[in-house]
Amino acid sequence: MTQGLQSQRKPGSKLHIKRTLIAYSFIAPNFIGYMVLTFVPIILSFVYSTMEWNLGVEKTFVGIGNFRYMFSVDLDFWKVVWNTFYYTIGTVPVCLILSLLLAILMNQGLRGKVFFRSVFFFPYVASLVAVAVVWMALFNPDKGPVNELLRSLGMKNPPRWAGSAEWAMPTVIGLTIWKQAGYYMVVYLAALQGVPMELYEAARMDGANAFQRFTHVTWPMVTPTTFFVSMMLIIGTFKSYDIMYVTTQGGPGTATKVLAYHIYNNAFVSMKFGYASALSVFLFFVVLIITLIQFRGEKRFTSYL
Amino acid sequence: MDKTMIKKADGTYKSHVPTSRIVGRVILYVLLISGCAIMLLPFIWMISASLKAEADVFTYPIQWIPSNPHWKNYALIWERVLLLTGFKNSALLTICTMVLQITTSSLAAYSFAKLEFKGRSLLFLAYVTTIAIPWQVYMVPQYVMMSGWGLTDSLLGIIIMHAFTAFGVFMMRQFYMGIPNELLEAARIDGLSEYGIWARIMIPLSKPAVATLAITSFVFEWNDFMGPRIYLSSQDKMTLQLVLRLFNTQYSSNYAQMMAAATVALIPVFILFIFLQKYFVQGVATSGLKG
Amino acid sequence: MKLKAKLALLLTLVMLCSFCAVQASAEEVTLRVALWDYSNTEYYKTMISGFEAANPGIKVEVVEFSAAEYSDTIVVKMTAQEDYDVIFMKGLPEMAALINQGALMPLDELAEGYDFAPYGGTEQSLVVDGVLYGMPFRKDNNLIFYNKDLFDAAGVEYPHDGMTFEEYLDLAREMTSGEGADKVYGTHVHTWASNVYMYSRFIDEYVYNDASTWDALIPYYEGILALQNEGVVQDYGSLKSGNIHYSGVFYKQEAAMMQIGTWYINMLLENIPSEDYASFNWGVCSIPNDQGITTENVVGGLTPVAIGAYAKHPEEAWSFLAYITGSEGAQILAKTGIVPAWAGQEVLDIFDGFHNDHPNAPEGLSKYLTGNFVIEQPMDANGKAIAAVGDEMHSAIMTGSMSVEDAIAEYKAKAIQEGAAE
Repeated sequence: MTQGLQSQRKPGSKLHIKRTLIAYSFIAPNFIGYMVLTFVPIILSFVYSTMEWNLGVEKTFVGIGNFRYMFSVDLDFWKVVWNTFYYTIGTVPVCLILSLLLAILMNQGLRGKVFFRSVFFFPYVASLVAVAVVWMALFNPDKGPVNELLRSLGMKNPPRWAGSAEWAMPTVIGLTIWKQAGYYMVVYLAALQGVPMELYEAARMDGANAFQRFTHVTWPMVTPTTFFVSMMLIIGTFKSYDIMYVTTQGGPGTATKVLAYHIYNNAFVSMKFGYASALSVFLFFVVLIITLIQFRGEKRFTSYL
Repeated sequence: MDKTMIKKADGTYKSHVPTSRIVGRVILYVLLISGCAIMLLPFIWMISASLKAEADVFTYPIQWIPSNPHWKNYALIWERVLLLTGFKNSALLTICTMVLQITTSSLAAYSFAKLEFKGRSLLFLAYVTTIAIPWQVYMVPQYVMMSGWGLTDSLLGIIIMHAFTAFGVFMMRQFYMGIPNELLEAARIDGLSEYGIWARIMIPLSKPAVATLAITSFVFEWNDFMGPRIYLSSQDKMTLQLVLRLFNTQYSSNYAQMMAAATVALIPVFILFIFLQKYFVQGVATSGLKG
Repeated sequence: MKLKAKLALLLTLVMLCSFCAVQASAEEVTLRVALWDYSNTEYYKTMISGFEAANPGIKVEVVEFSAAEYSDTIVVKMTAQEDYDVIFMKGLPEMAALINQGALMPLDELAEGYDFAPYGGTEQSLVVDGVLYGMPFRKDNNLIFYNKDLFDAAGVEYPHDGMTFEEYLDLAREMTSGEGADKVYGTHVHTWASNVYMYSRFIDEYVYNDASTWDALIPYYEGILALQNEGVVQDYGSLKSGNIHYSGVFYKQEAAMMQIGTWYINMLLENIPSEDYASFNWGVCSIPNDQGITTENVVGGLTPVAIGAYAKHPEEAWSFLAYITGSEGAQILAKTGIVPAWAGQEVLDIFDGFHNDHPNAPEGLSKYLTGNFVIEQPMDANGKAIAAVGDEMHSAIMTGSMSVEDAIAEYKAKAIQEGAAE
């Protein structure tokens, strides 16, 4: 549908320049602020990735030294990268499916949907520090109610959750999903409002069942939102550090130490700010690659719009 | 398809189902209610802890209803720390940031979603990928910069630092993508300028998205701790989250009072959510258009 | 003189005085003091008002940050060259990082002629390359605290100074009793790495920034892990994920002993007995070791306080440092049961006198505070990073994620990577 429009606008024409200017005028307020306050510091920190800097007065240029250290010396690096992927892969699909499912349910004529909607959204609203304390108390390996329940159901040795290297990450993932799912449910819910009812009616007339209506109407129509939700979840999990900070402090051992946590530690505990910047350059490129892949996907799947 | 559909005012459908389907409904409700229980359990713990003596907060088995409720925890939190100041500052920060974020993001998002211009993809890619940079990485250069402009230890500094968000642009853009182009073309033919389209069509049509961004922005700012802790230092500028952190000291902790304060802190956000509820599910008037 | 005239004269005088006061305040110096826990700590408030009363021209403006994030926050603030006059620090690794960053002002000139004798040499550990960067404010050494009532009830002799580590472990086993809600643990091992390494550090066989000494920790980890497996101490994973604070465990008499710092004296004085906790008698003894050392040595950490490199009023800041770390400040601290670094006789008398006002406290506390001070974590520019490696190792070992030997071998390498001696 956009094809017809584009053909009318010849590049270089007066109208074209005017349209470009208008387009930029929309972006300007956000862009200028973002440029000055975020882009510039990010670029600065990219520059620091080639330096050795302990946040003192002096900085030393080390070229690719930090990157060499990252890939061949840093004993934690690959473990931390692995943990990051583990966390992301454990969180994103479940959270995405759960939130879409909830949104579809909440979009039906269910009795009490306002109540349900509020309840599912609740965890997102709460302060992370407070809910982390609660979550950890509920999952206390010896006396917590979760393990009490598992024991009463006959499980002899229930998982030790955050108290063991194997279960610490699933515990953190669980907390993340619990806290985020309601939020993305609302995002999906907003998207579902944009799906014209007529489409469903038409599908019904064609004899489509509920599942077919989902695959043929709902899913394609919320693709931009799915793209957004998956992108935000991936980015969010990649740069997540606070959730580990308030629950496991990256432990036990290195079990929940993710890339962003490693970055924070290097910057403010080890005071290797240059190296921390280099790690974030790495993080940036990982996300860039994922984003590019996603963009291609988005173009393919939303071409009909 | 033996259902009789009744269209309700809000555009959703209420179905009259045969008995065979009722079982399904019951199962659905059982699932939903148990889901709710899982969601709410931590909050019940939180409220119950807020009514306990500090010594009893972590005792097991958990006492869900405190035998001797310590209501005074709620009184104490207002005395012990600057909770009122925290509320005031957080409210100011949150509202200013929210308004600025919504305005600047929806403007930029309209351009990214619906206007054609050179460099659009590249610029958008730059936006999206920079969301991925953890703030800890650039907070130091940013802080040094802001400090040079005298914007540290000021609420204004935090507001302008958070007002221009790539996240908001990305989010609004995705919603705008879903709005059919025919609507805009029709408006252009009617002689509406792009600004007019943004104000009269995009904003009203994207109420669910605006509401979502509003709540996102509100929750982020309300619960943000990292920004204020680096930027603010005066007592009279402390935000709610900073105040909450003062309950745990180096050698002791006070989880009962912390939970009481966290419960109190939840209320404004929850009220906002209830208030915005109807916008999340407001149908978009797209009748007469093909998708 | 008539009453009216008297009144008029009085008013004029008042006006003149207030005018003078305005004049004076115009020349007043305001010190910016960065610290944590100000809101919840009475002694800071007492000290600051005491200092302001003694120095009429100087006012103190407190800049408070939350305890947990204090060190990181200060680092960022100092990168932007904040003009804090006085900076409190949690320990020597944090201080080393700030010195390295160039954030602290050398004190040698300001401190010329100052009497350091009452500090017992602790100020020497704040010297880097011959330059003094801070003043020792608090000095917290670790001790074994024990619940006398529990020992009496069990008919077991109190722990004594100079126990061997094995004796200590066996004593803990002996003191363990009961089941479920009535369970009393023999001792309590809090979740910090120091709750294990302190035994080894006490006899100077282990130091965190020298990886070659880390093997010395093996028997201590094995000993504590054995207690954990036998149910003599609470499980690390449970304590950690439950955010269980050590103070409550001991207050509620759930453990017979506990190895913790002397700040706990202050907490016990305030809380035992209180509305929330029943009364019991408690005592202290020195850290168990196999070399027969009793009270001639103590081991623990220092809380240093320094002047910021970009301070606007270094002279006044120095007088603030001298006040709070000197005799006046030390006595204010000591009265609350916190051990000041300044250890003059006045301070020791205060600690010995606690038993009189607080019968639950033991007599003669001062002898546990005066030994040669072994610094828990000496100054090291890479100290924070190395200590973090130690903490990580601690959690790996205590949760049983790795065997003691494997963990120590692996984490020694990481410590060396972060700059520890090989």
